[in-house]
Amino acid sequence: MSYRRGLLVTVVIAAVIAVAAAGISAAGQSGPTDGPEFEEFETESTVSDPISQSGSIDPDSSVAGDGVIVIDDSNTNRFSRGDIQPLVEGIGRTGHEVRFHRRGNLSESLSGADALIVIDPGSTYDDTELDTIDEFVDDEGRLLILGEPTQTSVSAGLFGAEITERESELTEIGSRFDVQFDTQYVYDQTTNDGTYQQVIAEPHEEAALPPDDGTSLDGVDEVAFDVATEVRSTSDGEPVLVTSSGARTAGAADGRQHTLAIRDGNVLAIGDSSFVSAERHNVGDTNVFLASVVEFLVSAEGGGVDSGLDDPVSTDSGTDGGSDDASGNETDSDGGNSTTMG
Amino acid sequence: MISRVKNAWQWAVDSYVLFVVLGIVLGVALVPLAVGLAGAPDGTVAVVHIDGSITGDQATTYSSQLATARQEADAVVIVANSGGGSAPASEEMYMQTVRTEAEMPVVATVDAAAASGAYYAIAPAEEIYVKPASTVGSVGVIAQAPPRLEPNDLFVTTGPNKLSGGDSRQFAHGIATVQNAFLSAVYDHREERLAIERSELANAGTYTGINAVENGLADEVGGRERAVSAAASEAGLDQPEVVVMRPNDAEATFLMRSTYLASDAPERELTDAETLRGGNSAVPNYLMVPRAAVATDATVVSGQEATEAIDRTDETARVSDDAEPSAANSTSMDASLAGGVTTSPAPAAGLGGSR
Repeated sequence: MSYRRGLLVTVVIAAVIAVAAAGISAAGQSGPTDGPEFEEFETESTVSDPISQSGSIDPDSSVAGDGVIVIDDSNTNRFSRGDIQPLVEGIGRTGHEVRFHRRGNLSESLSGADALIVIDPGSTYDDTELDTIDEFVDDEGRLLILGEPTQTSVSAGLFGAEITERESELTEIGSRFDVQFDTQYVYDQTTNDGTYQQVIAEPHEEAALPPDDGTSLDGVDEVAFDVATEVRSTSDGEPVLVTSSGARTAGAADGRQHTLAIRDGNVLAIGDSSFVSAERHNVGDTNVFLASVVEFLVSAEGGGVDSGLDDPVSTDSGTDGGSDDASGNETDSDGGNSTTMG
Repeated sequence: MISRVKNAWQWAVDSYVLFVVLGIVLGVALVPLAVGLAGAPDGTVAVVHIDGSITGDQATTYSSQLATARQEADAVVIVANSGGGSAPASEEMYMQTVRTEAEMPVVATVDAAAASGAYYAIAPAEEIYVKPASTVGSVGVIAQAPPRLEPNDLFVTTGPNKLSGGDSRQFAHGIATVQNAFLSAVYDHREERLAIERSELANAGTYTGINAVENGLADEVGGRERAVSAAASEAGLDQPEVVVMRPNDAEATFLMRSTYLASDAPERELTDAETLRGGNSAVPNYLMVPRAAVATDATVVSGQEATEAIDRTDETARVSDDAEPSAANSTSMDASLAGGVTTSPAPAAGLGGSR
């Protein structure tokens, strides 16, 4: 019995030694392991979803008429046909005529007009032009100014890369109507349509545009800008569109609400021109807002204002045989200074 | 004879002499093993480098090294000295870091820079150590906008976006999605430590090491030794073996002078940014680098230079006769910053780097 017990104990101890040795040996190695289950990205929360884009600029039928809206194209204004086509079409839906002023006497072009649209001018307005516009507005004509922040761009040129700095020459005309356009762009990292420069604005509190002051901006929640600058009033201008409180001016440290559209009487100033383009005019509620802008333009109280300007200067007839205009039409070659597009 | 043996065995068992002898034998047998264990490393800390700009080659090497570390090491230290690079390559490295961090402690330390894609790669680390002069951050994406193309007589396409790739708005949302992934990755791993708003982080600013510690993009000031100690401590190692996983025949190519000067790569070269920036393409080239890294001397124009050039020629100025169209916003780029490109050899097999 003792013999068997001893043999058993010996075997057990030997087994313990063998197992321990194997264990120690195995401890120094580790085989391939399956990776833990994890998800590096949550795709649903990562995707940047564009806000809806549909519709056109459809002003209310109550503003239908046969007036004239003049778009200035005589101050190196930078826009193409595609840039303004939706706006021109929206005006056309009211029955009003769009006329381009390219050269000659501005007062003559404004004679009988309801509104003047100034888009991103590359040259300054001289005193005569400013006086003309001032009197036009005093006579209940409407003025829409679409500005841009200063932009420096690089493009391919014949001899290499070319740098072009674009600056809206709006200081003089803005000052004349108590509106100042900033030169820096506004950006918003949270409330935007894609990237930070495509800020989304909303109507400011009780903001409204004539002719229906109470409800004209109903249905406008998101107006998507392209690259915009802030507009500020130095008088009694009322903010129309404002950004979120997190928006910033380029280079500024703190976020705050920025005004991107402001109205002072018959003058409406907006810090972006490209948001009316064919590509962007109907992003979110932009087309609904632009319909209100058209209603504002065509509803001048004077309705077909006779400029009544003193001593109109003779017109530069511009008899160059015509040239392509922004609407794709050709200027008249009979001495006129404007182009129409009804 | 047999009877004598049985009697002796019986005596040994009854008197417990057998057990005493077996105990002595067992003890003597284990002494060498015990002595060896007392003096040997109790684990391994693998040190992996991110040198220069991030390309697919480097991402592949990095992935292979981390895969090896997951099998053979107990903790990993990432030494970052890079201004970022290719966005998808950076994302691959981020995913590998996430995978590794899920299995063992991962600690990062920054030499000259861990900017943009390089910061992306180390963001999942449990701790990030920096030097006061390190550059950290640039959580953003740069993409050269695709040219605006319309169907023409040369190319017949089956859809309007086949040639153009999509409109500018679609492109903007695409790059925003890439940016969202980057931001979310940083926030997922560092949210509790960040003292900077997501919208501020999205501005893609770069910060010195000290500033990064203050705003939570990094944890503490410290070098490689401290990072190794931290990794070992988190892995519960008292006497770690430190294995540097860097293929000796790798040549790191840098565009960013600060990372080039700070690098201890055995072979390194300072070159230009053409590899990253490349020429025009209808396919977006997403990059995760500081804004200046996509430019070369021929295309970089500082704000002052731009102003002077514009003053010289009124509105339009020629910058370079042989310059190519640059990425958007390139006129404000600073030539002093540039990314780097690393060319890596075949991934190292096993923990065979220098020790």
